[in-house]
Amino acid sequence: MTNAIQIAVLGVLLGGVYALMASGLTMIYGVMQIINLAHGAFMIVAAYVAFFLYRDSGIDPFLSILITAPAFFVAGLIVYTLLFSRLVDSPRFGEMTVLLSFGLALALEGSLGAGFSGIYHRSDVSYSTSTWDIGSIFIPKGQAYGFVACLGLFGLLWAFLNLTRPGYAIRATMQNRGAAQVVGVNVTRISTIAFGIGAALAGAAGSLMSFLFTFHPAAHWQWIALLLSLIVVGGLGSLAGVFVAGIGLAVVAAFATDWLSPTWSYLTFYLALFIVLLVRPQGLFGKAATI
Amino acid sequence: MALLELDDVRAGYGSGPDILNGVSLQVQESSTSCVIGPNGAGKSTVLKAIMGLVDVRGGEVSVGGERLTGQRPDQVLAHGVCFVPQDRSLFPEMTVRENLSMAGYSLGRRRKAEARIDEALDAFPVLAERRSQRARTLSGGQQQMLALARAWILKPRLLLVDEPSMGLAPQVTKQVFDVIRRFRALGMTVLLVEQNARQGLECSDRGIVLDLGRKRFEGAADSILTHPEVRELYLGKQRERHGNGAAP
Repeated sequence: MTNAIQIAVLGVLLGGVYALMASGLTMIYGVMQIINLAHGAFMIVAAYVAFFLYRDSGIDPFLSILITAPAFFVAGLIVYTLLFSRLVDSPRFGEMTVLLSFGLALALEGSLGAGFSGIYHRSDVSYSTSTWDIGSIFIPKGQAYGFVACLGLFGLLWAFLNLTRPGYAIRATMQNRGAAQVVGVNVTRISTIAFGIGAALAGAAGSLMSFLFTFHPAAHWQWIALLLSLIVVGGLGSLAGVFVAGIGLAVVAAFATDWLSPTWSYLTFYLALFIVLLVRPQGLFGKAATI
Repeated sequence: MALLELDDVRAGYGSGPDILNGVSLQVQESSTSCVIGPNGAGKSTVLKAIMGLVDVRGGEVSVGGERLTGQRPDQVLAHGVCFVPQDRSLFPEMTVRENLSMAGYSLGRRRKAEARIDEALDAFPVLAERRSQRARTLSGGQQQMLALARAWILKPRLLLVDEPSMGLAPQVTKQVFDVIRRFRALGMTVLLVEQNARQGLECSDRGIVLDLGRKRFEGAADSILTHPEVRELYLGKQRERHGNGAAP
């Protein structure tokens, strides 16, 4: 029983981080129907930024969120304006944006590889290896801090989407882009802002990744595959869905690791993807049909 | 005086062919006009071209003398033009109240928007009773009322309504057309597209007949369906489609 509680605690803590990682991806899809394959690469770039800020300037990875998130917000605005917005009128918008983001991911990976080679990195912060012991349960401090940071960032995102004018417009555009246009939302500007926020979330997730996981330039492929399965299981475009799917699947993956082998950890996500696609193709919180 | 003018407008979707092939029309201030025509005539495209929702490839669209050609929908809305689309374009996961709040998005000031929302809820009691209900749970008629209530909040100079009777029961359709008459009674200019020609023309001053992306005829609403040219256009199309002479 204690072992099961321990595994569940670790799964929940990790799941919160997964949910934050996937939140930007699902929001970008929700507003613009862009499957941004470069989202994982954005995270890896942010992880490098956080890593070097810690190694060279002593800036804690959590504090580095205050740098990576705004920086990636601006980078997102630039990337959307210079690249993705040019495809808006394309009759093959969906396919073109997949190819474009794929190319962008390759370019970022190549640039990182050229600059820092393919060796593994991870910020060696003091709390990444220490734990709190509650009876026979241990809670890794790094993962717990990461989980709290994710809850905080989710809270900020919720407040932005529900309490601000641009947030309201983003929610409206996620639900019905045509209707948003009709009520006077400038969907081009809202799309740009949403892409920026999605990139900012990737930036924040990258800061957490820098000490929670080892990373290297090509690691984004592994991440994007996992994140895509999360947003499909949660329901494309659903932030609540990605939160539930992130935590739920991370817990299942933690049990699979313990009961079977670590190999099953990642397979859990893809098995869940197959099952959801067969049983409920719109995902846990997705819409089967719209008005 | 004409509030809306379309001059030789050509428009289409994406890289496809022109749907409108040089449409020119005028809508007088404080009047209701109804665009009728067979399927594929380009009726809905006329409204979308005015609203900036399709590419206007040639010609001019103006409202009150101000050029709208090439403007985004939010910019067109700022000129006092409001569109109620065929699919009603609601926010399915938002409540009735939130949908109305979204209509107030373009008004900017929250207090003004709140006052207008309260006004709309008074004018549409069926919505007031369901203010906390999600839009996706409303019936088709209630959804259409909500779409019209959003327009009510904006108090537009020009209201564009696309197929308001689509998919509604006759009794509900009557209620929807009553609301459109109320818009007109408030002095708004209304341009209506309606597949049910008789019903659309009954609440209009003028009728405009479109076919194959061109205006074929225009005249007083109460006499347009008896005009030989219009009868021939409609009955001819009906014969082609059904092999009989059913009235429009």
